[in-house]
Amino acid sequence: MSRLPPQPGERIDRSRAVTFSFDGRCVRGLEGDTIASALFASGQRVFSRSFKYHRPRGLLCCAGQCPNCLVAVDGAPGVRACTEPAREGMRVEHLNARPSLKWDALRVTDLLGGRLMPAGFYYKTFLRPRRLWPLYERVLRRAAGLGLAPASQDGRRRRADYRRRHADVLVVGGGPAGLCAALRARVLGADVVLVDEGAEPGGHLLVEGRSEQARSLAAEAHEAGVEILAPAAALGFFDGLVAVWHGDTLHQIRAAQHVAATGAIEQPLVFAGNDLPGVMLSSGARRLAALYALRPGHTAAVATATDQGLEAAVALLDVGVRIAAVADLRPAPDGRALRRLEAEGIPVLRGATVVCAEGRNAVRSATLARVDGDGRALEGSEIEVPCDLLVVSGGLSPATALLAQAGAKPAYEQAAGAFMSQGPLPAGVHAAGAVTGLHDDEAIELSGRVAGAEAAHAVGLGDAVSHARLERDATRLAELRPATPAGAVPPASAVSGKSKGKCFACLCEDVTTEEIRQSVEEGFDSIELSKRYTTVTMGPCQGRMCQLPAVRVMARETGLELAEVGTTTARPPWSAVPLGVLAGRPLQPAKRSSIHHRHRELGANVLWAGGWRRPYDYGDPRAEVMAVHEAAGVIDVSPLGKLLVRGPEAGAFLDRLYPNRLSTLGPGRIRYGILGSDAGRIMDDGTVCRLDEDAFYVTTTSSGAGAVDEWFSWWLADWCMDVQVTDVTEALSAVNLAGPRAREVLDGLTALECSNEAFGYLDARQGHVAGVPCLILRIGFVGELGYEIHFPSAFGQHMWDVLLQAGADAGIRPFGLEPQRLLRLQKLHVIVGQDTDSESNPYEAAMPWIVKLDKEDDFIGRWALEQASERELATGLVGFQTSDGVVPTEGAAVLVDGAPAGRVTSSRFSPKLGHVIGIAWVPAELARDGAGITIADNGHRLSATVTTKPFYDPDGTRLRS
Amino acid sequence: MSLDFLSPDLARPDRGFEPLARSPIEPSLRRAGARFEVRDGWSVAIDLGDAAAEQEAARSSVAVADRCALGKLEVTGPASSLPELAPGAAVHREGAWWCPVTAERMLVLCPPVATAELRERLPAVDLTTGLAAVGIAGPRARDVLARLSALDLRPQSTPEGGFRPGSVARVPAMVLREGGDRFLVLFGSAYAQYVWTAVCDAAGPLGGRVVGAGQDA
Repeated sequence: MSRLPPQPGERIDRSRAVTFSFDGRCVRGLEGDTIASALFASGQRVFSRSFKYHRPRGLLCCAGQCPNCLVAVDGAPGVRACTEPAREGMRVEHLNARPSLKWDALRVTDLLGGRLMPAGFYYKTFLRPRRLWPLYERVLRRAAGLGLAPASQDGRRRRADYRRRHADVLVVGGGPAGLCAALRARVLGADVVLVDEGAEPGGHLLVEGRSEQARSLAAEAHEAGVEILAPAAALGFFDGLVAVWHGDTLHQIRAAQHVAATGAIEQPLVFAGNDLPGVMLSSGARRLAALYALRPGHTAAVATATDQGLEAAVALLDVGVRIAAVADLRPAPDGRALRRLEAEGIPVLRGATVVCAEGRNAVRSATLARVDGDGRALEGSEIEVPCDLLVVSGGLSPATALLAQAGAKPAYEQAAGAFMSQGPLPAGVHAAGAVTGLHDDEAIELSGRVAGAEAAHAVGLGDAVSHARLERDATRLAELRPATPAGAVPPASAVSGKSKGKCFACLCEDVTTEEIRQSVEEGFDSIELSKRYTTVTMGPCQGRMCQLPAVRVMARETGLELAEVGTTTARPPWSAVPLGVLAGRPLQPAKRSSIHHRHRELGANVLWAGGWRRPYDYGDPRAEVMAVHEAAGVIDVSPLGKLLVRGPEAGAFLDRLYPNRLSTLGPGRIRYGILGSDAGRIMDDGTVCRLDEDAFYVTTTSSGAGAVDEWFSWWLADWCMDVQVTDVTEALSAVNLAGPRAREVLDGLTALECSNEAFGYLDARQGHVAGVPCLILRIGFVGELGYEIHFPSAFGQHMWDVLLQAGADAGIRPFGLEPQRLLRLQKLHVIVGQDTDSESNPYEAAMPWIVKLDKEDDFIGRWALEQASERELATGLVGFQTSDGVVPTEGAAVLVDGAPAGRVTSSRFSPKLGHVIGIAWVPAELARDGAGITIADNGHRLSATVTTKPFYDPDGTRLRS
Repeated sequence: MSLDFLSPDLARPDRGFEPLARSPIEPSLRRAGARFEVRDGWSVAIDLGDAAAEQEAARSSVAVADRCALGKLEVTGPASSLPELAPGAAVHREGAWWCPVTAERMLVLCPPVATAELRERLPAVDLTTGLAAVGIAGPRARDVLARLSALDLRPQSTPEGGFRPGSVARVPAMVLREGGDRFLVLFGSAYAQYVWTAVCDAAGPLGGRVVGAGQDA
């Protein structure tokens, strides 16, 4: 189809072509075209197949409101062709039709399936046999839907960013009201963001051929400093935060004041065949002509309930469309448009509407008729009008969804025939323009200025002059508010005496008026229930096109007033949005030690461990274990929690937190500590080192560092002691140098005296190691002579390299978490959280010695531990070893008389000991050396022998050597 | 005993070893081709091969720089014992930023050479290696941060010296507006590689680039 001559304000650039493919066919459009306008220009009239009945669908709104032009672009489904700009080389494909858009085999569901697929048919059919449900589901999913996501992960990948934006005022809607509001607020000094769904701001001005006025307003706002986002869909109002989808960015806009200038949505009419290609909203037809210079049809019939349809008829007439007839639902319309049409000799039927459209894949004719109050055609009034375009206009429905999400209460207004926000708006929320029911140009712009000024004043801007002007504007606005409705209220559906075609209330989900009637008949007699049963309003248009028609049908079928039926709850998203945009960039925080890159270079298997990325092993865990036993090993223990506890009352503070005594610890000495809860349960463990009279250095488990810091701070705030707690976990790296040759390695790197006499077990020393200031703790989690070296993390690489170099002759090896777990298991050293759980107390965990009930002062969990000490133990944590070489799964059950009575918490094969060892919870009577236990694991029974002493070096000779 | 083991500036040549402090971001910078120089005991990225382009990025879009070597000292105590600062408002004096974290906790940011003297004088706990620091500077600096943080960094909310504890790239962080479009982001040093990657990822599409020390001035 050739374009119309240049139209004033058209969006296309006739000098620049854009070529893309549609279902493999090459399509040439113009710069500025949308996919839909380019396709329409190329002669395409069917754009999609409907959700359930696979009926052909054509352009209806041309404004991104309806579902009729959904296509896939470069594999991404759910793109609205009528708003998506045509881009060079893009690949556009139809959705939901096989084998082709033109010949869709599943059209048979329309011809046969009306009775077979009533409302909620999927709740009633495909139920038996149940085992076939997966097959049914697959068939249903293929038959219905709105396209498929690309099968491969690569095809689904897209970059989407979040952008947080704070503002004084957010204006949603870029029509004249929104632009005036934004400009006024900006002029008063507010930081303003305006978002608009359209390709450019302007709203109805663009449709009405007043693009220059729209662009001038937008330019003025832009130059004043308003940030304009378009096309950008406001998805929802979340407690003051408005999510806005703009390209590949999800803007999270938190504004102090919000102005809803969301306009009103032109409503379709409901009649038989109302979904045929060629049936267009009046605004859609005008948009095609005004912005894209396209003639929407050759011969048109027009059915309207307001002046909007008449004005569209005039506009179409002016671009060469022959207007065959006009049906105006109002009994006595008037106005300039009407007079022009009649002057042109066009028949205008009063009190009439369209009752039927006919055609197979496009409108061929429309039947217009005068109707009664229920929409039934009056006998003898029907006129069949041959046409290829049927322009409909069912009046405007204010777009109140965002207002409702913000807390406003939409209610039915009889005079306007639509749901509108009633009563005062929520604090910080303003409304302007057609969403408030205004339709006069002056009133719309004025309402914008009033809302903008109110918003700016609310954030403390403006002066006496602006306040006085606001008062004047508000008074004038009140005078301009319409006293009379803009049009007639369409019936729930208009019905011809001869027509038996489907009347669609909801185009997205293919819900007919008959299906809503059925739902009421079956008891789903509220709009919320009917919505869930029929899925009306649940499709991509989110009720923009179908909310009001569905409510009208519901009112008719239940006999209720529309006000009583009400609307469905407004929920985000107000516009369909790709899930990838909501997800944003994948951010997964990971902690890494300063030595991490060295671990990678050494080929470590790196795993997650409590928020850290840590080396599990370096490829040969057994060899790493043996190196620690026979020579020396070094492990990066930087993730250990590390807290400085300082102040005159530091010792007393720790005494209150731990069940053992720490205030008696001498400077330079270390003590093991278990941190208990109020209930006496084990929360964490670690070492406490006294640095000097007023300072302690506390280590915690790697995963428990944050919680212990919070725990300390919480109690400190309560007790108000003269203590300061500082988390130095990330400030310090730490390595554990362990093994019989560890001393020899360390000795060559420091001036400190490292002999056993000068630097004994559980001693702490400060000094330089390889030139780095260090705190060295002589402790032995892995059961061999060991030094835990703590130092500023900036020297991680230096220290690691130096230790491996210095220990090379001694046979040093780096070892990872897995060897460490085995080494500590040989010593029966528990891992809190693995060998203990939230119910474990020190008595059951075989550590009664750590609880000092004879401490003078109270400590956390004291009462509970006193009670526990007086009770007989029910369970005990013990070591075990098996004889058959099978390693039971961690978590396997310990059986007594065939019933579970405990569980395995740790288990490994020890290459040093030559057999399988583990830790398990067992009934107290079995918690003794030599007791036999049975472990059930994956259907096997294993016999094991209990031990309460460490498997390796039970007397700690090697640790203390 | 003392808290010397927290202070990187106390490292010294010993027994043939010459310890060099390295930023936790250094491995990423090396992969990006950075050129390093030793400054005040730290290995510092001087540039990434094109100093002119780096300076241009700071002028026209956004420059991202590793500033982990900054001295960071924590001063704690009763509010009455600390310099009086309004909440959220850091001040620059004596060549250092004095940042109020809470009424009873203050962070002092200073050049590496000034750390030892300030630490002794205050006295303070040396958290130089506990916190990583990334400089984000340039006209699109706020755009980068807006992709990673919900903090309100508009000039009217966060003027020069504005100091905002919050979340950046989903980890606890503090943001200091040093002036104009210059921001300093502080966060736990164990997150350095992760945050650096996230910041660079956000800055890239905005025309940003990684720059060497001082190229973002």
